[in-house]
Amino acid sequence: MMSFRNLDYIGKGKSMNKQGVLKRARKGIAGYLFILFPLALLLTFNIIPMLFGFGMSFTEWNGIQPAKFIGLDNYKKIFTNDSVFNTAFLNTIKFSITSVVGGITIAFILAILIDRITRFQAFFRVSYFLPVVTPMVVVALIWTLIYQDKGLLNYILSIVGLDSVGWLTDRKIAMYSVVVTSIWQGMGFSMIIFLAALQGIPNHLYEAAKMDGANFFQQVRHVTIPGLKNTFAFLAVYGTIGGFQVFDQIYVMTGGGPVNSTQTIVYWIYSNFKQLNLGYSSALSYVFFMILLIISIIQLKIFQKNNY
Amino acid sequence: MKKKSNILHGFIYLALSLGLILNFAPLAWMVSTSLKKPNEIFRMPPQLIPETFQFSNYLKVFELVAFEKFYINSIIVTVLVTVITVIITSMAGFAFAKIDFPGRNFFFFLFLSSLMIPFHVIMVPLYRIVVSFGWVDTYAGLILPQISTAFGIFLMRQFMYSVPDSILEAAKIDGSSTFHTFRKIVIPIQKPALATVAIFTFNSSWNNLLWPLLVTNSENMRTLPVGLALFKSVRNIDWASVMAASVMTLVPVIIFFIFMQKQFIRGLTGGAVKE
Repeated sequence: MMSFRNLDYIGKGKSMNKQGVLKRARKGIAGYLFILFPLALLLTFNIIPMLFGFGMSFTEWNGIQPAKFIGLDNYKKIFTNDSVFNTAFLNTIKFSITSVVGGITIAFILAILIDRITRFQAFFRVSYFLPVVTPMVVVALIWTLIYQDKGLLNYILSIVGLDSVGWLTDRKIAMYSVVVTSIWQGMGFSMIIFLAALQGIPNHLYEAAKMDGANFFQQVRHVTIPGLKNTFAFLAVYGTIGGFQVFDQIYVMTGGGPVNSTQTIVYWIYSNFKQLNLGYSSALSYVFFMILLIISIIQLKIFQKNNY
Repeated sequence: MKKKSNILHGFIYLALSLGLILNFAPLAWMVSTSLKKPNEIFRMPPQLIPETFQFSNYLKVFELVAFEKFYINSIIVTVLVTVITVIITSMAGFAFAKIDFPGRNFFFFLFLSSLMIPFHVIMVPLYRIVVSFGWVDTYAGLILPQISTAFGIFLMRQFMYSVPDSILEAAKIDGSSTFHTFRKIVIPIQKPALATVAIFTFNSSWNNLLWPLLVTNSENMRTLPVGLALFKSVRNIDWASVMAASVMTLVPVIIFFIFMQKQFIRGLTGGAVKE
């Protein structure tokens, strides 16, 4: 029993020998100690809230008086009698799709351009990444200023001879203004992912394409885009899940307005929480969770299909 | 052929430079506005360079709101969240990669599955739990629920696999305890991993708006994002001061970013870039 094998508390896979569980537990006691603190945090601040929230979602509760059990009423209300949720859901989809499509397109163009050049590559990478590290509250404030009636953007329109636009006050436009802000902040992230993925496309494919007389655009179309298929899929899903959680921009720039035109799911959960509809906001949270789960399952399917 | 490629390169540099102007314009506008006099802010045509630099706008921020409190709170919260996260995720990551104990896979799965639960889903019950602890308007309430370890543990575990078993065995034979081995041998060779998790955590904590917004009521406990966001909701918004406050919020991040670009980019994309 004094062999080296038994000296080691180390093991990558499953326990290889027939030691009893107790003996393994005693030897691996350090393992439990090492995960104790994060496990306590996980229980207290993730798992318990998750269960507690599930219970809350079946109640009417304002946090002061005792909670009243009302069964599925909250969920019924969400799906049949909450027009704001409907609007918020559609707005959230609109936000996610436009910001993802716009962001990925711009990031892709930047990435293939930066990938082509030899000098100042690092400079461009870092510069375009800068907005990613900028706090969203700061970003939202800057753009709110730019979007003011007498702001920079309307001035630029006036030079071209166009009328002023109510960037954050026109309900047909406000959401797209928020989208532009979000794209500006997030595109550097996608760009870096694209640049990393571009390294993985073998050079001989480009050589072969050139041999066939393919120009720059044809190379992009027939070599780069197919080669980055998985990256596109990853960024689309990652961006969609992130997009569904949009809150900061809405909170700072529009407060969900005008007339709910920028209302989103998370903002609606927050608003109900603020109005002390705790049971209802918990039910909204669970519906939100289910929506994200469905997106994740779709994600899994896409990745499996692409052998990702 | 050569000439053609030169022209192409010229166009690429031109396009990237024009893009860069658009990319930097909002930030430049922020700095410019922060130095303007009130009557200059919406002047037509807009001026990028203010007539005179009103550095007093920066001082005014501290008169209008308790900005120095926001700053101190943000630093305390961000530093503690980051330090605690790095310590406990590196330990847990090491345990999951290198220590054999019953239930290891189960616990790891538990952490991993919590990645599926976005913060927004649990924020309402989480707030109620923090209320029942009496932690509203306290540092404990600001800090502890912000420490989400799942992603860090996942990342650390990947890194920890690269530590050779032979080193750990040798240390064990020399009579080193698991913790001692971890601290003296594992940590020094895993600095890049620690930096990755640290930067990721630092950035999300410094920028976090929603949780501090929920869990603080008094102005004295606000962090920078909350303070900034509520600053704006004041009537007759003073844009010069708001932009000055924004600059001051952004500056520490930019300084970190400039000195540690590589680590930053790796840290913020760490979970995403597959290498």
